[in-house]
Amino acid sequence: MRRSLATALDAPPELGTQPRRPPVAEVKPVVAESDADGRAAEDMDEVAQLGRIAKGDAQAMRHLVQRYQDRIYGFCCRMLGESSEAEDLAQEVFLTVYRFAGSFRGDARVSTWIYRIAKNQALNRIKYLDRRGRGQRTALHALREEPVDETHAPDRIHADRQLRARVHEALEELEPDFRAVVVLRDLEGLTYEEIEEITGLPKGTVKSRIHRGRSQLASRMQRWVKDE
Amino acid sequence: MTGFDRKDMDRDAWTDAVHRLEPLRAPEGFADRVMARVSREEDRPPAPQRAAAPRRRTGGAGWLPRTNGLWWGWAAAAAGILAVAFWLPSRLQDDGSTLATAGTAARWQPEQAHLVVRPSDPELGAADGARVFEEVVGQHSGQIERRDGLVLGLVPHEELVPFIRSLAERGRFEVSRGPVRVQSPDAWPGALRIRFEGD
Repeated sequence: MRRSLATALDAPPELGTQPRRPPVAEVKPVVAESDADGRAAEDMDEVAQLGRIAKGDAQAMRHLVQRYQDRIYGFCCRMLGESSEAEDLAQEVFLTVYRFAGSFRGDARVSTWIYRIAKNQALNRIKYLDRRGRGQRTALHALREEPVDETHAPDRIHADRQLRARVHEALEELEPDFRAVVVLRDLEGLTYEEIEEITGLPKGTVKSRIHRGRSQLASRMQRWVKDE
Repeated sequence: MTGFDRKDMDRDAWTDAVHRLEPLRAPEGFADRVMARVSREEDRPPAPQRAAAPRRRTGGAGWLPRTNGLWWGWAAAAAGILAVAFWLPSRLQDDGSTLATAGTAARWQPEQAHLVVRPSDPELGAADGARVFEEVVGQHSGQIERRDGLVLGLVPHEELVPFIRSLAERGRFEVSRGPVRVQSPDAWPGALRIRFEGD
C-alpha cells in the first residue's frame, strides 16, 4: 500500500546507527519536487504515447495496457467483485482508450483519464448486471482472485484469503458511488485531487463519501468479527 | 478469528484490513487478449478520424438525442396522453358527436340545435325571414341546409354575438335557446347549430 511510505518517513531515526535524517518536513518538499518532475515527464510520455495510439500504433497501445492492466483490472475487480466480469470490463476500458485516444484533451493526467473511463464503465456495468438480475454472489469467487503468498504458513494463507473475501463482501454491500471512491482512495491509493478529477465531484463531496463509505465498511467488518 | 483481532477493531477495522491486502494483478495473457480485440477494431474507421469528428450526441436516427429506449417509450406514452387530452375535447361537441359528423348541416337533426331563430316582425313573412336568416348565416362564414322544409344553419362559435347583432340589424327576430345547451368556446370551439322556424 502506498500509505506505508508515509509511515516509513514518520518513523524516528535510530540514534548512533545512521546519520540523523533531516526532519520529515524538510525531506518532503524535496521528495515531492523530484516526484513532481518525474511525474511531469511521465505524463508527457504518456500523452505522446496516446498520440501514437491515436495514429494506430499497436506497440504504444500494448505498452499502455501493460502499464495499467493491473491497476485497471484491480479496480474493476473491486467494483464488480467478480473476476470474469472484471476482466471483460477492463478489456472494454482499454478498447475505449484505444478508440478515443485522439480525443484526449490533456486537461487531466492520462492515468486519471483512464480511471475515469473505468469508473464510468464500471458503474454502467453494475447497473446493467443489476437489471439483468445478477444473483447474490458468495465471497467464494473472491477467494480465487487475489494472489496468495505461498511462502506463508497454511493458517496464514487461509486467514489472508478469508480477510480478502470479507473485504470483497463488505465492498459489495456498499453503494456503487461510495464503493468507487473508497476503492480509488484506499485500494488504489489515489489522491483526493485525482479522485476529484475522476469522479468530477467537489473535494468536500469526495471526502464525505470516502468517510461515510469507510464508516459503513468498518462497521460491517466489526460486525463480522463479533459474529466470529 | 482471521487476519485481524479485536484490538485492531478498536482502531479502524477497515483501514487495517485494507493494509493487509495485496494489489490485484491482471490475469496471464490479459494484454494479449486486449491487443487481439484492438486488432479487430482495426476494421473500424481509424481512431484519429473518429476523434476529430464532433462529439456524437445523437442516436441512430441522427437527429434523435442518444438516450435509453425506455425513456423514449415513456415520452411517446406521455405525448399520446397529452394529444388525446387536448385534441379530443376540441373535437367533441356537447352531445358527444364529433365536428366531423356535425360539420355539415345535413348531418345534424333539428332537435340538436343550440339556437332557434324565429322572425318576430309580423311584416316579415316566413319565406323572407328564412332568406334573411340564410344571408346572415352566409355573412358569418356559416353553412345552410334546407331539409324537409326546415332551414338549418351552422355558424362558427366565435361568430355567435356578431351573428345575433347582424340578425337584429336586418329585422326583428327572436333568438332562443335550442334543446342543446351552448358551451363556452374553450370547452367546445366547434360550430353552433341554429334552426330557423318560420311558423
